[in-house]
Amino acid sequence: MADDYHPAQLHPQEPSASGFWTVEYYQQYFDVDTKTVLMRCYAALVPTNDFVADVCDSKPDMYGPFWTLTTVIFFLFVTTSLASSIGSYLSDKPYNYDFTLLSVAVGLVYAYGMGLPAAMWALMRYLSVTEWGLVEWLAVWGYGMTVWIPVSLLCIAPIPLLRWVLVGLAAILSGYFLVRNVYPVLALAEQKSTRLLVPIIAVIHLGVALTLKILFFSYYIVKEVGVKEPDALPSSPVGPDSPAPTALFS
Amino acid sequence: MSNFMFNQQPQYGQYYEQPSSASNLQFYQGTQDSQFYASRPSLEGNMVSGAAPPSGSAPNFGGGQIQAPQGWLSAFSPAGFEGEPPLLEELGVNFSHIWVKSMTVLNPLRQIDERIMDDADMAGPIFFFFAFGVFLLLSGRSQFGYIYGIALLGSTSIYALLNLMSSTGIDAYRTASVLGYCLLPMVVVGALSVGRNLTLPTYFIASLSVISIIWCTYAASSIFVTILRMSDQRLLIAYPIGLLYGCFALFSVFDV
Repeated sequence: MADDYHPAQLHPQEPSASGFWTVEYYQQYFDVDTKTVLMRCYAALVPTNDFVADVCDSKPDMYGPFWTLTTVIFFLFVTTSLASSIGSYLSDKPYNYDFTLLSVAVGLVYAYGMGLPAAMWALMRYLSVTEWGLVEWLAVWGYGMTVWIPVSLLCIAPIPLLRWVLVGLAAILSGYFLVRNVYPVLALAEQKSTRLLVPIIAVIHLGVALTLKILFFSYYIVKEVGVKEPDALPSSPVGPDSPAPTALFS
Repeated sequence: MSNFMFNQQPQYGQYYEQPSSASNLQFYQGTQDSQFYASRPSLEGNMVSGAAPPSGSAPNFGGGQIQAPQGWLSAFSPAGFEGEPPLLEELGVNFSHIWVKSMTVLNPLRQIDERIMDDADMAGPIFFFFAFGVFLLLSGRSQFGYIYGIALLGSTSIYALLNLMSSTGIDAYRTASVLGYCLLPMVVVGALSVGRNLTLPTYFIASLSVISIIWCTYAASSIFVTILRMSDQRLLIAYPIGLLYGCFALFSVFDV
């Protein structure tokens, strides 16, 4: 049954030849409905098919990548702040919301989710591989980040082992999704050495996953359960002092 | 802008005859056809520009029709121009329309008429934003600048998004008008939260804020989906609108 579903053609049109400065050029990339976007997010979590060719029917959208990245940022910041404020409420310590964490989240997620695929696209253009346009690169990276949304919710649990396992699983799953979709495109280049980009992408991906773990999933509500974190990692429930806005009721 | 000349001379009594059915929400009596709205979706609606300069080419819209351009001094006389419309009509403030639209927002479960936001009036939204700011002021926070900035940035972003996602476009004034009207539940919660430190427990205020965000978002997305006929994409536009109203709710919770 799933094979019969085609994304709804809301206003079908050929790939527009109008310039990239007109609205019509971008409208073709927003021609999705709720069901399509949710299906693409699900396909990113369960990567069995080729993403661009099969799931997107070679018509990727720009709504999904942008809003999944934004949602990841919100969930990272909100779950961190929520758990920390619950912790301070339970232990009766005052808590200052750390908005620098939000800035860091925005910078990191957008740079990785948008800057890196743009760089990959430019590199591939230089190597004369034009199989994917910029939108395909953005779509693959953007939808690949959806796994962090459920993981950030599950990582509220104050169990270090569980958090490391979850982050590891998320990194492996989204890394596999990325590599699986990117490798056929890289293989089209003439030089064999472009396939070396695959381990580089994987290393960058694992680096980003580790950064997210250390920055956002390291808070503890009251105390840790199970094996203690290594001393180098922060484990206090109260955020660092910063001149941040305080809630009127606390 | 083309000039719309109307051959008939409507009576004064027609100005305040508002049709009771919502299907005929034309601003004032006197227009010939609904094509009028499609061609002029902007802010001016049906207003008559009253002070006709003696040079003569005065654009006449809607109800009044100025017979002969008299000297401008007669505008200050008690008699005024012949055919000068009432002040509220000239300003584009139509209280019964504002009331109908506010009731639509407060009860979004009822069927929404497609033509309800055809006159994109800003009097209601400006009043609601100002009332929101005043209630926050009464709670001890003067945040008018933040409200203005977020409203401007938010309505511009939603305007861009709606034009990208819908098959028919929408103009900026209408999105700002819809978003302003749908702020009404949050204004009500803001009024209640004036008593936050005095009588009401904090979890009550917090849950009211969440409910108001959901209510505002539901109303705004219903209206946009009805106007633009994009019922498949309802959740996709509800999400950014929900984030925008969440920002407004943050104002009523935090002392930014």
